[in-house]
Amino acid sequence: ALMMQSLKLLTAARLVRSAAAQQARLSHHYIRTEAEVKNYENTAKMWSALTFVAALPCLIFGLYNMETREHEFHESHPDGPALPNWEWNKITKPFPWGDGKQPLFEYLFQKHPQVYPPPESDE
Amino acid sequence: VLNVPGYSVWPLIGSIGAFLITSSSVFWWHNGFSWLFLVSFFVVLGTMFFWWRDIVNEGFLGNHTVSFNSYLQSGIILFILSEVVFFGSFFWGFFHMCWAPAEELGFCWPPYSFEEVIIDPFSVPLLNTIILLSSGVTVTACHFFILVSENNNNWFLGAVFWGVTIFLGVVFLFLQVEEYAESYLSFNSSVYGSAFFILTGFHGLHVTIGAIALSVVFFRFLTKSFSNFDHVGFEGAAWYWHFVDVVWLFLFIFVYWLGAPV
Repeated sequence: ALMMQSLKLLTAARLVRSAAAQQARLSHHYIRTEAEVKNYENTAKMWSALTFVAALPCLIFGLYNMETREHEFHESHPDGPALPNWEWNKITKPFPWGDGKQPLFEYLFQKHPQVYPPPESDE
Repeated sequence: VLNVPGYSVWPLIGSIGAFLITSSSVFWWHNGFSWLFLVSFFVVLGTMFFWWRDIVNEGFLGNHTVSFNSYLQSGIILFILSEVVFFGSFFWGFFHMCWAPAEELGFCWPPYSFEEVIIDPFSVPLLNTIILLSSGVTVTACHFFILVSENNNNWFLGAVFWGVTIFLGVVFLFLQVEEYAESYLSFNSSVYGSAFFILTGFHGLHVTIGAIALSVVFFRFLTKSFSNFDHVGFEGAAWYWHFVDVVWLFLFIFVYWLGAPV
């Protein structure tokens, strides 16, 4: 009987401790110490500094690099790139837009009419 | 004791809408435009609006305790996991084709004669990679500014970084659309075109979804729906945005970079 009582006490104590621990874990979200708030502020400052020190230069480099490569490509290929084997580009079933002979972005933007003739032409 | 909200009709309507979208779009491809497609598209859109409106309203009713929020987060994580395996299936198909190129392609990848129409990976795709990685940095900065914000002060910097994130996402989409329009390749350009456009196309769709999610959550932030310790909607949108960034990194490395001629 004594053992049963002490067992019950132990389990009750464990439940109370775990409930308290869970309460602490959950209320940790909105009960903050000064140190935690300072940590959040410092991290925010770090990430915002990183955007200007790391992200922005990389973006500028990426933009410059893209413009340079595109410029060089267009200079060295005045008639456009060498077109691939269009045997592999056959349209065996009409597309569900327009007259069915142009892929979607060609139908929308009409950028390469020499490769995908627009609807009202004969060839 | 679980705090479970009451029954909702939106999962049923959402699944009916999704079924109708897929079947009516197949009908469209075979038999010409189907109005049912337009109807079902709006059914799915409406489901999203009403379902999430219900969640927001439950929050205002006090259901979103700290422990309940962990269930919402688990749901979002499971959804993102389902998207991971969704992309995994298309990557499987791509690797199946590019690691054992068929005779018709010339036993090489990219297929024979496709060299000059393949997108140069270190031109626009590299810029897109930098854009998405930078947007990951700005969304993290935004999160920490939200964590230290009070209701009426300190919210402005979080809003600025949030806007920059969405702007970078929109720039990414604009560059991708321009690449698609300028490309000589299309969906029917042998299996290369199929694999390339299904992967990058679905990725672009997911970036669009992520940008819309960030914008909606931005609106909720500006109308004071969040506090500095309770912002599950923002966390979910930010996780989705990081997921989209990681998928792009896989795309850039395996499809654009390693899939290009040496």
